[in-house]
Amino acid sequence: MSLQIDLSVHLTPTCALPSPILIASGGLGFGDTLAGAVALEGAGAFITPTLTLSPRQGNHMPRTVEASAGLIHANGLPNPGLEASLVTDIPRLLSLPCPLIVSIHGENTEAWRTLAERLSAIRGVIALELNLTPTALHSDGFLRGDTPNEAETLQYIAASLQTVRAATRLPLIAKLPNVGAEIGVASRAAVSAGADAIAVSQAFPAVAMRLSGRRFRLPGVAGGLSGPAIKPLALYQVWRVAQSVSVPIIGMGGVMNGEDALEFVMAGATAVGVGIANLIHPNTSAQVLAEMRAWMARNGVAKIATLTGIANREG
Amino acid sequence: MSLTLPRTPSPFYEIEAPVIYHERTVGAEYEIVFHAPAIAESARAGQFVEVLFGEGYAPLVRRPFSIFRANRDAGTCSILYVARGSFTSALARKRVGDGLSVVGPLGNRFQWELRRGRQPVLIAGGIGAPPITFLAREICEGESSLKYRPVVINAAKTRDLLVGQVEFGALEVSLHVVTEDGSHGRQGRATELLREIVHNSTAPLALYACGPMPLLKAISDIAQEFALPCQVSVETPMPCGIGVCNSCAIAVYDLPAQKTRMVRACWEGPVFEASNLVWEGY
Repeated sequence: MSLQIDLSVHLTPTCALPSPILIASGGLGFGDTLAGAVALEGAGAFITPTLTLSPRQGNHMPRTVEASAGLIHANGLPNPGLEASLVTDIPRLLSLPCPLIVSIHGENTEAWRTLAERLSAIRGVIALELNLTPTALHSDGFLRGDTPNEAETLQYIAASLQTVRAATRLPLIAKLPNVGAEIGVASRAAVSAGADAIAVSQAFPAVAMRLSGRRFRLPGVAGGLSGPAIKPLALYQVWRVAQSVSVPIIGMGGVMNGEDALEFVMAGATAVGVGIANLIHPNTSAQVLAEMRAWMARNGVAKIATLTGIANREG
Repeated sequence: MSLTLPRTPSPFYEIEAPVIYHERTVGAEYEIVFHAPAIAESARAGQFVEVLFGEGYAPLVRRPFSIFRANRDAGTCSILYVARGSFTSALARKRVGDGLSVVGPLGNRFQWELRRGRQPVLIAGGIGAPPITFLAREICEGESSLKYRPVVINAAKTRDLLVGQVEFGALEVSLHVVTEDGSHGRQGRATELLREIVHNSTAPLALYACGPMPLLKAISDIAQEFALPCQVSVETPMPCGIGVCNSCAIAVYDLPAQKTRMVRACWEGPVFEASNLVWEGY
């Protein structure tokens, strides 16, 4: 007898996803290069690279450095800006065979509002993910001098969410910064301000050295570390957030295969983002789904949702 | 006018490709041939593959290699590389029968058909040679009656850094070798030799080049000075090669809009008309 595997999950009571495996923001870019090569049938959703109101060309080269089991990147959020994206990228992305979530970062309050209003009017966008790193627009994504203190960081999270909440009825995913405030505290601030779901983790601030030149490798010094190297740190964040709030969690950070994804689910994630792995194996999401299914069949688990946070319920 | 050269509208494939031949050509230069019919089917000169092997996420991301040879009938492709860094040194230990994970074919190609009627002058700098050898072969095989024999300048700092010498020697091209220290061929720079060729030529010329950015910039300057068409393949880190990671952005002129624009070298390139690239800063 074969088990009927149910991979569907709910981001909100009314927002269902066909599966828990999401293309994390930036994981497959703006999706313009995938035709005929990458299968997205079955993916829970495609999350766009972060859109800002104005176009951004991004940082100087080099933008990436490989680290041990990781990649340090400092792209500077290159994107065509809201208006151009509405004409080119969003229509194309809406034709993908999976739901679309748009990642946004407002340059200021007005930008947050405009991004939310304009994107709410697009049929087929199922949710917005707010990139809530206060320093996301700095050349390196991280401040070199004073970073915002915890009060300022929490205030930024709350104010950004309140602005967007007032402008749209779409489900809001708060992608929390991992510097500035303890992640559990930050998740409570986000939920109080209207977040429907929490996404962790962002890339971690990181630096790489060039010994021969006696200098830093990246022109902006710091970048964000992603990849398998950060998986334990990301799992910690999922666990902390699961202890702090009761909204759904999107967990991500170094997911390379089905077992990684299941670990995030068991630590508390309702859905799991795949990022860097897509750069390496463009069809990772399909592979992860197949491996999850196989694991569930082997272990007699019919509904993925029953595994969410299961580790937190024991003892 | 388009800012970038057209792409061949073919998808890319990720293939677990068995190594079927792997030999040292000369010095630390190796050719590794792998079975990848879907890639061999459409691969053209200038295109590249992204290669990965290893365990435990070391290395984590792929490295780009220009396609050196493609044999459609045999379903094979090869890359020519120099075992120097940790990635290529590990690659050199791969044996026949081992697997390589290969994504390709990627990027656009040299559009030499646009310049039929001109004598091709191909310039290879160091490890920029493999796509130039492929191009030389493609031109030689693609033209039933070549009006002009292609001229090739193979250049490097020193003898040990020359790549593709064996292959160039086997082709019907007029080969010039130049090293900065004079350890092989003529002593000097590729651009000095190119200037001479341009000065002395009575035929209309078309330039094609691959190598480090400063060399490409100098070639672009010569092309501009003598109003010669020039296509260059740029060398830049390309962690993904599939146009998603944005780590290979390069500036091009958007003349109608009177501004510059960033494009992806891996996707809109790696071959560009030299006159479209913003060379300041290289």
